[in-house]
Order: sequence, then structure tokens, then C-alpha cells
Amino acid sequence: LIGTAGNELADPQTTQKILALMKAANEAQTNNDPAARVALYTRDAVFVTPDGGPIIGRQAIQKWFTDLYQWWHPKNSIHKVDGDAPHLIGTAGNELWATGEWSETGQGKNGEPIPIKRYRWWHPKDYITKLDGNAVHLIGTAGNELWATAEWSETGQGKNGEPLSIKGHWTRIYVREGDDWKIRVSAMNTTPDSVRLINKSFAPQPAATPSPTASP
Amino acid sequence: LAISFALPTYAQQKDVADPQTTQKILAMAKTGNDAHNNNDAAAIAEQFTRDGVFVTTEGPITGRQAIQNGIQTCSSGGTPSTTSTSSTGTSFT
Repeated sequence: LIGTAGNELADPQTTQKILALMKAANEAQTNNDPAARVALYTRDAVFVTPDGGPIIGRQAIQKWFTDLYQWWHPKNSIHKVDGDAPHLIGTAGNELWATGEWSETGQGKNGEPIPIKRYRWWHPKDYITKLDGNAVHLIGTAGNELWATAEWSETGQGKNGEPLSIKGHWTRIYVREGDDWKIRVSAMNTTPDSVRLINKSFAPQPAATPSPTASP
Repeated sequence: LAISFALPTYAQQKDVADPQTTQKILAMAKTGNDAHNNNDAAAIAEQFTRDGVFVTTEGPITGRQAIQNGIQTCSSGGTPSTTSTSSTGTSFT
């Protein structure tokens, strides 16, 4: 089955267990409960954050969620596995992968809704991706599947042509195809600082208002 | 016992790939950097399996051809190249 890793779906019983995990995550997130949130991870789990990159270990992950819940109080958290379909990695049936969508409701500084914006004409240069620790990790024992995390960075142009240097992190699963390796799943994020830079450059400018000193 | 002492460092780390495999993945990353900087969507997509999944903030794109199309459209400015919220976001690159 070399080269076909990841093509098979998990059996219904396993799928239900994964979906139950998602439900537990929803409840933990909605209850702002770091301990319950982190109980879903292995002891040596890797959690790739948008701000600091990978955090390793259940205890460190719990601290990250504890810090998060100090200022962010999400409600109505929903995590959904795309297609309700976890996929097998390899053939042993001991590792799975899935993509999914999450949503939750929070409040901005003044209770305002959080906008989602889209930007066009992004022309990045100087793209660099560096594997964390130059290390690639085995999934399972057959040696046909790997995972890695990395940091990426690039420079694009802002609305007025100014350079915007942004960065983020990605996580990938590689599978063997003959003598080569290919990417089976790649997921990436962008750091909050980078997003703020982009927001600042591309945000619509407020309409000019008369100076208060000019008022009668 | 003597054999275990002779094991290379990577073998003592329980889940790290061997040096040869690691070099191949690092070479892939370098090729990906070059492809990205050359706006070469085909070369970027070529690094994925035929049924590869690229997870963007707008959701997963499945399949090498779809990934190539997504990157190509993005490079030509036809669709949003960057999506963000005030707290998180992603460069679709």
C-alpha cells in the first residue's frame, strides 16, 4: 500500500470516537476549561499556535489555553470534521488524520463583532520555509509516513506598495511514493502580528471628517 | 548491547526520521521555496500527492490539480490571496 497511505477512511466505530472527541473539544472550549481541552492530546503532543509556533507537551499546551482564556472567552464553540471522515495514515490502523472547520463567538475590545476581510493582489517574494529543528518525525513504525512543523516567511506589497513582511507556521504529513516523498496534508497559519500588518495596510480609510477646531 | 551503543543519534530519538530521509524533506522544502518565489503553481502542486489536501483558512483544497488551480488563480490576483480575521489569518500561498 506504499503511496496510498491516507486514502482509506476510518471504520464507523473509530469515526464515532473521533467525532466524540470533537464534541468534547466543543464543550471544553465553550466552558473555557484548559484541563478538559488538553486532555484530548497525547502527553507528547505538538500544538502549532499562530503566534509562537509549536508547543510541545500536554502541560505546555494547557498553559497556552489557560493564558488564552484569561482574555478570550469563547462561547458556542463548534469543531466539525470535514465530511465526518477521519482518514487512516498507513495500514496499521493506529494513526488518523482529518481536516475540519471550527467556529466560536467572542467579543472584541468594545464588544464589537470581529470582521473577516479578504485581500487581493498579494505578490510575495523571499518566501522561506524552515523546518523546526530541521527535524522530520515518523508516524507509526513502517517508515512510510512522516510529519513536520515549520516556520514560513515572505514579503509582499501593501496597498500603497510598501513592503509587508509576514510569517506563520505550517504542519505537514508526508507519505512515501517510491523513492520520493510527497505532501499528503498541509495546513498553515499566519501570526497575529502579520495579520495586523495586513489589516492596517488594506483596511478601508475612514472618510475625512471636519476638524473639531473648525466647528462653529 | 554493543549494537545498541553503536546506533546513530537519530535512532536514539524515538520518532525522528533517518538522516537520508530528513535530507530529502529539507530538499523538498528548498524546492518549494524556489517554486513559490518563481510563482510556479505547477511546481508547488507537484510536491503534493495526487489526492493531497491543502488546508487554507477558507477550508481544504483536495487534489493536486485543484491545488495548482487555487495557487494559480491566487497569483494572477483573481481571487483573495490573503484572508484574515482580527485575531488569526492565513496567507493563501
